[in-house]
Amino acid sequence: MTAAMAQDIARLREEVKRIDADLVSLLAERMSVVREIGQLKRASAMPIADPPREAAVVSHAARCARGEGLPENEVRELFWKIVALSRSEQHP
Amino acid sequence: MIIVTQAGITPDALDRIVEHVEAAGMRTHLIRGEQRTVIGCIGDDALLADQGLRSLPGVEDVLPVLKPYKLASREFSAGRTTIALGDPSGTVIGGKDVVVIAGPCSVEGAEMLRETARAVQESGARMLRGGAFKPRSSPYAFQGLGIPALSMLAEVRRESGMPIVTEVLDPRHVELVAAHADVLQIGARNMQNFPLLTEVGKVHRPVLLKRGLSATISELLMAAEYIMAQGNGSVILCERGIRTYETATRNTLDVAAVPVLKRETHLPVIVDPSHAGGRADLVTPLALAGIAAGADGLIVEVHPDPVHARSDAEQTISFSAFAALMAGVSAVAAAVGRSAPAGQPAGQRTAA
Repeated sequence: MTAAMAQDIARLREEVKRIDADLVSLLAERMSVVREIGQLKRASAMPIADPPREAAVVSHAARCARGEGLPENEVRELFWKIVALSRSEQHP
Repeated sequence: MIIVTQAGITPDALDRIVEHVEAAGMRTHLIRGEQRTVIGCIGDDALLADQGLRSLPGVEDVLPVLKPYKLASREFSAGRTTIALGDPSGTVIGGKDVVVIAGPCSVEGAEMLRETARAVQESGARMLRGGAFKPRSSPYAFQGLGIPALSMLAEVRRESGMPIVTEVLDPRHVELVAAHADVLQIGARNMQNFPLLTEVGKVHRPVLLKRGLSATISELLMAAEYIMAQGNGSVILCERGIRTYETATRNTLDVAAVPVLKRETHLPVIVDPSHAGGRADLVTPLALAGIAAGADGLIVEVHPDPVHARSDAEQTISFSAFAALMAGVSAVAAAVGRSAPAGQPAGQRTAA
């Protein structure tokens, strides 16, 4: 590996690091919105778990993933994790 | 169950079917074949009992999967699973090449590991095995060097370019081992250690899953299912002999398990001829039988000085015996329409 290539890798890794931090910030933002929804659900005596809504959320993400040329099965799995995290955030 | 969709189904129609299934509380796995897409449904089939799936647009047929394993079953994959290690030699497990993994039972020191890596690589081994944490039948037997051995494996990996396979025994060590190894091995004694299987499923690193001493083929596949259910589909199955009434050998290599597994699952299957026979003189014949039966690779215990190996001495072979074994592997692989990589000067394919 040449010094220039090593430098490129180091620079790109810094970029990945920044993107990861952004992803986590977005996740935190998503959770704060989700908690608000949770409060509204409780105020209106709606159940926290909403399977058809969860499926629709994951489906939407899968459609976006397809548009970006990302592997669908893997993105679905990732979003089921996010949905599960969101559901647990809605429980007081 | 699996949902067979009509040929040429639109992405929208496919989304609607998937959403319908997932809203009922199941998970899906899309299998895109050349002709049509199949939706594998994971979860309790009863959830879909009254969902009228057959009447959804785009559905051609709904078939039950009668096997208890789903993700591991042939029906859930359009083709065979191949696992690329991403090493400089481009090793792929489950492809046309028979991949041989070799190395000492336990890592006893950096120098013996380096020496073994060099010798087995020259004879055609593509990956290096070496135990850091050893599950021994006796609590007083050598338990492995532990964390220092992981560093030695990482060092030799860097020098040789060979991917590393090492066993993880404890769910608390999964991340640590994954930070050093290319493939995580689950030993025979832990095949049904479900918390450990779940943990290795989460790290998305290829897993070499050894068949338990008294596990049926179905139980082996259910253990693989545990790992896959966490989202880690890179599972390599290993037949390593089962316990029978025969005492002349340590275990009995279940050769038939290889073609049976190949029929039942899309996952790669390898054979461990060292543990199967438990005797150095049986390693080569059992290795060749495994390849002849269709195995995708081998995992063999090799040591610079087998007699003085700190574990599994009686079944460990020398460098020269390994070279002879590899010559036989090439011949048998060619006879069954596979290829075996030729030996290469050690370290030559290391990343530049």
